[in-house]
Amino acid sequence: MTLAVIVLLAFGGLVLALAAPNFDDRPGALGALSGTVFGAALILGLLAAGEEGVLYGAVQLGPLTALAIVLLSLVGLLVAAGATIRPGGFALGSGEVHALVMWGVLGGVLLVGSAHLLIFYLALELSAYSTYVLVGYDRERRFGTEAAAKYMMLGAVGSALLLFGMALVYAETGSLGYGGIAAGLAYQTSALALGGLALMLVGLGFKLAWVPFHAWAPDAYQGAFPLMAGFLSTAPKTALALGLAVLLVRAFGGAGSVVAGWIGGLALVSVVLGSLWALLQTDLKRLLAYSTIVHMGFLGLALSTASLTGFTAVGYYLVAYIVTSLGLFLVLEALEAGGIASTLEAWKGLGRRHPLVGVLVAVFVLSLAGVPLLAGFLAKFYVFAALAQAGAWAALVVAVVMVVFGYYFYFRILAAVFLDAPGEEAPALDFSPTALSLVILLALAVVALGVWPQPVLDWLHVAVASLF
Amino acid sequence: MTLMLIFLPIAAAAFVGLLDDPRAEAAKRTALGVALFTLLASLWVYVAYPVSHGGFVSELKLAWLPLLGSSFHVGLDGLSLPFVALTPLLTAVSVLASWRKTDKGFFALMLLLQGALVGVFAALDLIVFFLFFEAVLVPMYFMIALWGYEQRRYAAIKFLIYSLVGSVFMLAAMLATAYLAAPALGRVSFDYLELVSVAGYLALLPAAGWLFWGFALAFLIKLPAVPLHTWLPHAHTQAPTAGSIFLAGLLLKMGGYGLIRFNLALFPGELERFANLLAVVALVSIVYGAYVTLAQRDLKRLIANSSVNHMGYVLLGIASMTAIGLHGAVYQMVAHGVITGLMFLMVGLLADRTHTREIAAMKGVYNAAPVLGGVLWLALLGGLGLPGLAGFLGEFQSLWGGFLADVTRPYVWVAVFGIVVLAGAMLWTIQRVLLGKAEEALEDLNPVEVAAAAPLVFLAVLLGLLPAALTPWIDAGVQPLLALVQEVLK
Repeated sequence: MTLAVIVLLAFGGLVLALAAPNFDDRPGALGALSGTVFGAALILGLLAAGEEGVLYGAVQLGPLTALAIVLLSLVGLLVAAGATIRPGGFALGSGEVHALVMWGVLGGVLLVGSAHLLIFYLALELSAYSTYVLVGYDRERRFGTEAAAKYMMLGAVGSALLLFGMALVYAETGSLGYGGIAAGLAYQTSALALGGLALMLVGLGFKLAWVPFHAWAPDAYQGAFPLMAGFLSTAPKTALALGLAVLLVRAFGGAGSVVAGWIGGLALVSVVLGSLWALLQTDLKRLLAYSTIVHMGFLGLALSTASLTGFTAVGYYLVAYIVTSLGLFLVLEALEAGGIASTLEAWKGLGRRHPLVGVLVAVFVLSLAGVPLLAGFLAKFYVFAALAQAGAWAALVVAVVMVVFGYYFYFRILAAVFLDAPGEEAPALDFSPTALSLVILLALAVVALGVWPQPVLDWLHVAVASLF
Repeated sequence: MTLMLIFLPIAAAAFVGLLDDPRAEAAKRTALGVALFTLLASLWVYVAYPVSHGGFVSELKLAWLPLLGSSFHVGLDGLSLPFVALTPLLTAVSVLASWRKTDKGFFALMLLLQGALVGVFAALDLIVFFLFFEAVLVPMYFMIALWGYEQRRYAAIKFLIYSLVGSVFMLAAMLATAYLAAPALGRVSFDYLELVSVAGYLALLPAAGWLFWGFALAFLIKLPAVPLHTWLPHAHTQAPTAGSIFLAGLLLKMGGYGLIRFNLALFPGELERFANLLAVVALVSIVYGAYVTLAQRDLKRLIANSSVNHMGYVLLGIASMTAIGLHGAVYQMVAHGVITGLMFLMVGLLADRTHTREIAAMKGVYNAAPVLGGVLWLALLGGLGLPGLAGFLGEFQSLWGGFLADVTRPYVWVAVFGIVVLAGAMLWTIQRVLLGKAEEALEDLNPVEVAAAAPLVFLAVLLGLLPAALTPWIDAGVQPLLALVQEVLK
């Protein structure tokens, strides 16, 4: 099944890229085609959970890879549907968007499934190059090009450091396969290997936008179309977080706990500084970029416990974050398509002009803030539980205090939406019905995940338990 | 039953929100109907409660997060039932008090508040408690921020941030309690009754003091106790009338209830250890609260500050750790809910008519509007603790309980000054606002407003004359706790 998914996504992307120019006036048809591919991949992913073994010595089969397929296909499906919102599609054509999203998802799946550092690197680059292009899609505007350039430069630095780290690890252990590395690092860890691991972590830190490697994120988000920013904030992060969990358990052997400690430090710094910087933002996309940094910090805290509870927390956090964050970015996309810029200023009075959209925004924003009975609360709670189980009391206290700061900046969005009066020359609000139905569906998912999380948690628990 | 009391209002809130109802005519009728129906249901549970046995009724335990050791566990006992019955009553009063509002969202928020508050008082699982404790914040924020007076946004965000600071530390303490108690229970559990059963083990933990303060901070902010009270004058003053009734009548009670339910039951040893400090805080709240009340020029702010004084008695009663003191604390909370609810109701209606809250701008209200003035008069007298009204019994029992315990006795003597000063503040208010000759005519209460005030007047008098309507329930809730505390302290 996993093999089928890989082939399907690779060729699906190819077909879409080749057929795209003929369908530029009909974005709906391309969206439907792309959605079908992702739907099929999602179902195959659900079926793939029972597989065992390693594909060509490079791709690990099993529940965790299946989990990655399901989550990433879900992101792909939502983005494919979201790409049909803009009337007339994107200036550069819509077909390429679908192809790039598909390859990005493929890269993510391979990243998690990888059992070999070369595959890991190739998968990472496949996913990264897709997002470089997607971020720069809005090339008519200065910000779009700037965003892509900045993102790509820093992404390349990250990749270089990652490669250098891999080389050092190889020099020490003589292997690039996860099993071989784990065996090489099992008993003692030399300074060379630790240096290699540190460089690898820095490289991954760039991709995950952990502070202090986050500088590209706000610019990239601001310059991209909201839909692309939404993809950027979910798909690569999902793949990297799960991929890092696999690396920690399967590849880093005895050094895993050391690396987990570093991750905890980076994550805590991200949570604290990200929350503080977010207080200053007035552009919604920049604000959401800092919010992503904070969320990646929480995710990193869960990763750093390297426990079953911690990794289940990572899984649940990802599910909650995907539905919440993509929901909010789809609202931004639909509003930008309707001529409403993504700034707090332009969003003033949104709740009065369109109460339903206001309530939907409130659901997503409150979930991001972590209000109970919504998905975001349980996600954070699970992370805190993992920290408590690990006895990381200092990290727990710092993390819960930062939740208060989070509330403050998320409530600034709500204050603009509900409390401020609309501006004088506000354009008429035209919210695409496709977007509305998608967003309502996601909002219901946010509530359902917050109220009745057990089925999802059980499923994640089983998938994650296969790691240990 | 408990499930219905929590989720019927929440479902009704969603229903009201979806109604196509520009004038909110259907919304307010739905809200009133739901509040009255749940009031009857909760009264039925209240009356049917076996006061001689005690224990929990309408208990329900649903698997919710088995992986984490949390279940949806709710139940009602003598400690929670008075508040569970008070919640729909004050909701009904608030709906009637807001009868002129034309926004359906306002009524939906009230129903959400009602459901979440009942959830807080009924929760028997730490996580479920936290869930509802937090869920109260969002509707209250919007109620203040959207429908409040001139400084509403500042007041709303201040309320939100203060409450949150407390609750995040409480969350950390809850997690720590559950994981540290795991060795004694054999597994991680957030179930309140299971954790209470290992309170003896918790008392021996080196971190017990930290856990105690994690919980206590949240509840002292909510209560509120000086010096954590500075959010209260803003929130209460700027909130719309219904919001003030909810805040004073119910949200503050989450603090006192939480202190008894969690701090006393889970960490009695720590409570005993810090009783002196808590008693000082209580004393400062009583005396300082009374003096600050005396200095107010804004009528709503005056009542808000008198709450600081009133809640000081609650803390004093709890710090004494005696049966009488705890009785007094719970009695005072219920009485304060009724009387301060009534005060805010009357002041809100008065401010709607005079378009000002300045005490200096009001004169001869009793002369101009005898019914309004008379009820306000009664409420202010209730606020100063006049015998024959509910507040007296609460304050008296708290002080008596404080007198019985060695640790709090010296403070009771000083607390008496607080009574005198607050009485002065209330009487002076009566003199300035109610007495004298009116300069302009005021419209008196209309039937809807009388209907809003009537149940509170009735309860203020009933609980002042007939403590048997409440004491047996409190006793059934408090005695098992005290027995447990004695056992743990040994």
